Amino acid sequence: MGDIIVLYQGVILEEMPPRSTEIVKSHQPLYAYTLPRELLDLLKLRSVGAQDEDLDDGSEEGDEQGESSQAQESNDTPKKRRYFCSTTQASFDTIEELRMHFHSDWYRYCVKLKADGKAPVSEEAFDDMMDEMESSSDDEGDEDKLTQLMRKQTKLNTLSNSREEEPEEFDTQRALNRTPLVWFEVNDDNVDDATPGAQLGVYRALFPSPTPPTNEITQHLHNFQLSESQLDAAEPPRRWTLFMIGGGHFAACVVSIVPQVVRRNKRTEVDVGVVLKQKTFHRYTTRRKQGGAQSSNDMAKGKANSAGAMIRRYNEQALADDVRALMHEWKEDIDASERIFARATSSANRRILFGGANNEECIIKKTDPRIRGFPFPTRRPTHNELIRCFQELTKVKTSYLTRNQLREQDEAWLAKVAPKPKAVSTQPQQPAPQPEKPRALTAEEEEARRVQDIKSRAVEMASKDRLEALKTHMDRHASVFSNASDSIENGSTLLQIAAINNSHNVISWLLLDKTVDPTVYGGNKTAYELCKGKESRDAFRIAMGKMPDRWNWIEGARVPSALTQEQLEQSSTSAREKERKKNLKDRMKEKRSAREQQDREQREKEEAAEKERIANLPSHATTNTLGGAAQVLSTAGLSGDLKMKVERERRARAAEARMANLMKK
Amino acid sequence: MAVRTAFENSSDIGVFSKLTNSYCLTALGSTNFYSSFEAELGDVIPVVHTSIAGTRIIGRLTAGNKNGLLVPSTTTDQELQHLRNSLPDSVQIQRVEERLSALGNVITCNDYVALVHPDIDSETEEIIADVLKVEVFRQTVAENVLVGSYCSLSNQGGLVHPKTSIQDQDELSSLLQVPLAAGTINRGSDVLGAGLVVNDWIAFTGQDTTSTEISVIEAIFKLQGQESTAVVNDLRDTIIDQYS
Repeated sequence: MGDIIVLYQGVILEEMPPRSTEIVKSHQPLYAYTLPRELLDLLKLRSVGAQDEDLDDGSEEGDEQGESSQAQESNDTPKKRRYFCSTTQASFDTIEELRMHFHSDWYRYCVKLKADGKAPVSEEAFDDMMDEMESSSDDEGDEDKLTQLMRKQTKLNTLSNSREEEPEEFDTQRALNRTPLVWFEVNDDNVDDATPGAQLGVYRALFPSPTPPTNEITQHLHNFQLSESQLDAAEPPRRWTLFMIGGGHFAACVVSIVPQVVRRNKRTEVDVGVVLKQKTFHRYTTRRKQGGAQSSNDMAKGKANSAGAMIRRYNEQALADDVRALMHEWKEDIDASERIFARATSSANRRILFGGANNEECIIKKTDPRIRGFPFPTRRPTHNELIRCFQELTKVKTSYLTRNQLREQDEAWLAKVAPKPKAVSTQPQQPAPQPEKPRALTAEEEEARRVQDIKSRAVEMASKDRLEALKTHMDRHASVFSNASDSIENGSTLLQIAAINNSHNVISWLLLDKTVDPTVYGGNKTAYELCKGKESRDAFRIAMGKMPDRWNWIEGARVPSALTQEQLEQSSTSAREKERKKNLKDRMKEKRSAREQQDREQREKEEAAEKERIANLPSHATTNTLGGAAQVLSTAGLSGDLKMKVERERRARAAEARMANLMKK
Repeated sequence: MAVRTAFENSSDIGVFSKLTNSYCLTALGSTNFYSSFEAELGDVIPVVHTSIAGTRIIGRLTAGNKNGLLVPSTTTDQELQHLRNSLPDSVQIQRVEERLSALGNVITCNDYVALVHPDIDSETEEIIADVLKVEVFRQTVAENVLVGSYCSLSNQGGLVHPKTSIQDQDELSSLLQVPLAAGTINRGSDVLGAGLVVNDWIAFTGQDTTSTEISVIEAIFKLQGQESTAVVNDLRDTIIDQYS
């Protein structure tokens, strides 16, 4: 097929494009219920990671186990040195290590898995699970981590009616089952990995719920196609019922899924979505400006008594009654419908459509397997919106991507889904409703956002000098940080960011372990010049000292001089010396001041003693106040005459004392 | 020595009795049953008639070794008091609040190591370690979580479920540090815990036990002074060939 040459007007044009894309293009637009037979026969369900399927295969795992047990035996036979844990497939050199291993959480988790007949998880996978547990729930700190994990997983498993598949594969399948579209591939043998094939996307809502097993999906697609007799309108048309309710608006219609051929302006056209019945209501039920339904406000804040509230309350009830009445009127059509699409986001609205706890008489039961939600955002409930939604739901999305592109998308999607199985995005690699837009775009955007997120986290760690965190982060996302010298945010490299934030540990790690290029300019400065502190600058100089020939340090990185470990120590010793000297000086000063203090005290004491002695001498003064020193001051309040008298007295006493002293000697 | 006995025409004697190196419990009822224990053990260790939570299935409800005895939370105060009075003072008796209340089915132990059900409470695990003075391992025996039912241990050796792979036997044996053999009891029954009670010098088996089974038991539990290597080499291989 690949070498068929098409002659066109006698000129050899080019090789014919692959048939699959041709078929798809020739039938555009495709309607989900009337897919051409030739196309249908070629369709095959696309499975994510189809290329890697052999790896996930259960039988392969069995082989692996066999191999490892063989390896163990061969290890055992020469000498019983290696101890082996058959549950986790881990092996150890000593019996003590094995015994320790039997007490580890990982082992205990694997034993529980084994008891449930599941395959054990690897240690890394288990650690990841535990990390996730810790990050997601720190409030239940008291409880055993393992118990929490087990409980969480049983919850997850019960949520998805557990199918008999390997846990990992099961997760992917579950994630896939949550995507709005089921993708089919047009089988084409002569498409190689680089030429575009054709892919068709059909809304999952068209298939029975829960999604049938992967091998039956294509059969279901075949089954729900319109037969000849149905197309000829020989039978009553197959139909859908669509409801939308919200904010007091209500729109409903019964649509025939059989397309109708009509002649319009002398041209035949195919009308998709012939409306059999339709009805829209509107009632004033939502609170103006504040928003929200009256009933929810009543529930939250108690009954409001305003006139407006009364009106809205009445209208809510009236709307519910209207809808119920309409549904009764349409009972036959609803019962005959293949699918019932309903948009009723609030519980109050769902109650109107499907009945509530008190089980009002309702045409549609809440558990009806035909009920579907709209798997895309919808606007205000109007008739036009219903028709748009119907057309959207029944239109088959097409894309023309090569296998390589698909594989990349799958990988990106899996990478996004796998580590956090609970946070499965509703929009994986499959494109948004517009079929013409290549879906590579969204996937690229997603990928870019993810990478951006990873980078910004690295930037944060670098700027806070959290070296350990950064190390593990960069190891984990090695693909993103394949070249650590690349600019990471707004044109600055990680090194520059670390330099600006004075994260000297990160700088020396980047320079020495990651050999990041320091000569890259950020603005008109190198990383060295961006440094904020001496420690960071030293980190650069040490790196220069260690790898002087690796970079053009002086001109390129503008690092002035190298710093060897020796010099660093020296400088640090000199710093220490300085410190010591300073200390010494301080101590000297202290000592001196202490001595001075002592002297002063001594002097004071002597003075005090002297004064006391003087005071203790027989005194003729009429005033005798408390305390020796007060004597001197005692003259202060006296008149000049008296002062003289006291002074004379004092001097006389002093002279007497001197005389007495002399006499003693 | 291995002795065949029956409890009221039932061969599942492990259900109605508990044997350790320092005491033996038997269920109320069959006098012959009690006498067969009393005749063998009477002058060595106390043989105690008791019920647990009013039932006779004491072997499946209790777990113990020479150091202690664990009874389920359903044990009445009276029974507990009776046990305290009858057992030696060195034996610690403890009531365990465990969801898996058939302790005999979820715990199997000798005087040094205990294997327990993987889902057992961590609190219970601690109690087991403290009261029985053993190292506790969460294990399965031949993919069965009821280690107490499918395994019988003494300080000399152990008998495990016939479908235990050699690899698992090696693993368990390295844990317990006693030789293990895979085998059956009561003419091919794989519920070893129910058919066999054993301590370091004697074993009691169900009435239906064949002489081959008896010889395996006597060999692996060293009840006839046989060399353990002989068991490991001669008998185990044939048994494995037969059952797995």
